[in-house]
Amino acid sequence: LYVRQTGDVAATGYDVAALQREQGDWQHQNDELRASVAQLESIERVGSGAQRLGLGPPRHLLYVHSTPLAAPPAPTPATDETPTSSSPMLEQARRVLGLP
Amino acid sequence: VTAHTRAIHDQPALTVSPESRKGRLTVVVVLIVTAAAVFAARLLYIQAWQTTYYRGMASDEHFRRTVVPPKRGEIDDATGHPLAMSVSYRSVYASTAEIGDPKVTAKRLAPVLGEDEDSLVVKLIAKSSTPVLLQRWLPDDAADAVQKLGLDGINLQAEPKRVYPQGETLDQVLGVVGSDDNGLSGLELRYNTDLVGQPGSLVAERDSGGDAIALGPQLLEPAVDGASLTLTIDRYLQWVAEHELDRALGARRAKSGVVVVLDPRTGGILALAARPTFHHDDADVYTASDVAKYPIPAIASTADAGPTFDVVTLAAGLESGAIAPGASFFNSGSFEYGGSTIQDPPGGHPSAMSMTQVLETSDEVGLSWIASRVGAPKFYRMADDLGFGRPTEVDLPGEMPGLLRLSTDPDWAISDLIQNAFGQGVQATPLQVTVAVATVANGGIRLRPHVVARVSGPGGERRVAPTIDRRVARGETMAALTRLLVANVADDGTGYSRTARVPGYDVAGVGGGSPVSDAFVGFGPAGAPRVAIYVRLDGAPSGTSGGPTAAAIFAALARAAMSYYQIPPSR
Repeated sequence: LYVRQTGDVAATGYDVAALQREQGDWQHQNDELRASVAQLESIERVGSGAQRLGLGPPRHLLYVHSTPLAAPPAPTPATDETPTSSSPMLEQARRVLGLP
Repeated sequence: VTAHTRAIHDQPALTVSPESRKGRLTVVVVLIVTAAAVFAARLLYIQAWQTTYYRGMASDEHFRRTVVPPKRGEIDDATGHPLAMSVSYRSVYASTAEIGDPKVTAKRLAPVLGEDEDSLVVKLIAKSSTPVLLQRWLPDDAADAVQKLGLDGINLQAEPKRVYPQGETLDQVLGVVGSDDNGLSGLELRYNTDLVGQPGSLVAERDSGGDAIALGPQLLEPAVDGASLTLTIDRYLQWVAEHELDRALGARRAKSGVVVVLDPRTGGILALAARPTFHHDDADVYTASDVAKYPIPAIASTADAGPTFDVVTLAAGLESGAIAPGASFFNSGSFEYGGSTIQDPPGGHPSAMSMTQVLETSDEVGLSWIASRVGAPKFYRMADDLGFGRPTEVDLPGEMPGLLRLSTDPDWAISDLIQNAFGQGVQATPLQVTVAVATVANGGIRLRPHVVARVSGPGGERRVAPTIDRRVARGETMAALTRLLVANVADDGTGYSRTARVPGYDVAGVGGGSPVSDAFVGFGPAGAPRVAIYVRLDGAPSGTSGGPTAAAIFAALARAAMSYYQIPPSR
């Protein structure tokens, strides 16, 4: 029993050591991938990629001044009745989409 | 021989008495007992009195302490993109004493490392008591290949490498890390204590290979990783600043240039660009030529404040009541004060000049006249309050204080006043000038500039809140000065500053220079300033006519900032 236990402990010890090494490898790969992602997201790279696609800074900028819509009414419990009125945003969406 | 033998035989026979025999036996027994007693005493001494010592020696054989290195903290820009981070790579070392045949080892190793076989042999032949570095930071596939070779005396060791994912940007500000993972310059040096972390240790029972036995007795003191820095610097504005600076330097064939972009509401630095600079990707950033470029020009190089100092003179004039924004004076072409005469270039005089015209042309006579009306004590108090002649205390290493002789200094002369009025004799760093103009933009409240917004570590988070250094002047004074600076840029004159105009926006600023060097400082939008920008170019060939390049860079940067921050035009 003692010999078997000793053997099991030794084997488990090696497994743990191997897992620790694997954890280190994954950590290293994770760090490397994070660096690669950051590199791929760099302005220099994205900028040159955009240029290759024929993109560039906008020539004209248009700022649209919007008035915030009125706050939506407080939610009410659902009823079986068909709603007779809807929110202004929904009305606007219906008009844009040409829906009744 | 026969006679001699006979003589021996003739001698009487030797006899030992029983008493004598007993005495000898006693001596032998006493010696044995004494020796046994000595050994027993020694044994007792070793086992009882010196237990701890010998147990320690045995323990040292079985247990070994290794240092657990911490991971150096990351440096991110204001939007959270990593600018500098540490990744662990394996380096290959040779324990030369353990290598049997250096030539065979070199032959097998050379193709994997991509190195010349002969140069490897030279490294392997040299018998060294310490491991010899063959190649640092191997790519993973090469490191795996070296491991697979299983060569005696060739070992791999994981070592952190500082990587810069955004490429060649902000090199001087980020700084350099030495081979011992400690900062040597820039933020890496200034915040080294935060970034470096705390090494831990592992005391563990080792197997025959020297590896820790996983389930054996061990004492682990974990390493504390370094804290991460989040900067106020925005990588986009930094990129635009560097891009515009490079373009202008190329077009004007200037030798050097500096750009500072600062948020006047917080004192946070948004961009710091300078040329020439070293690059982290250089073959060896530790060579003398690169080391000479470690200092950050925005804080370490001073130059005559020149026309950018007009801001101080006008602020002092308005705050003291010596001039009103709508005031004008009669310029006769020269001005005498304290035994010294200031003379404008010929042409256009005598004439009446408004304060806007004084600013537009950076008129030396006009500015001297204002300073003389303000008087030395109030003039120098304003210059001092705006931060000239003292370090801004920005969180970067190597800041210079500049030079401003106060009227109380022994080497000050009364003529200094009218010369300082147009920036002559005042040495300032680009950051000092930017902070002064940001104070105007901020309604007279001077904030301490800073580069780091947040330090986040295992121990928690430390945020850098805007720090008010002092209130320099009344808000009305700064509002009046802002209007003058806006008019300086907006008016359809032929002044230098009109190049700084940004269509649709009111921007304020002042600048000037010569074909060899020029500088511009300003802020925008004038109504609710978001950026204060300083640009300086030096060392253009004297024959060139590059025009107001610094003002043009200011305009490009201000336009980019307005668009980036989605600030709608005001007109």
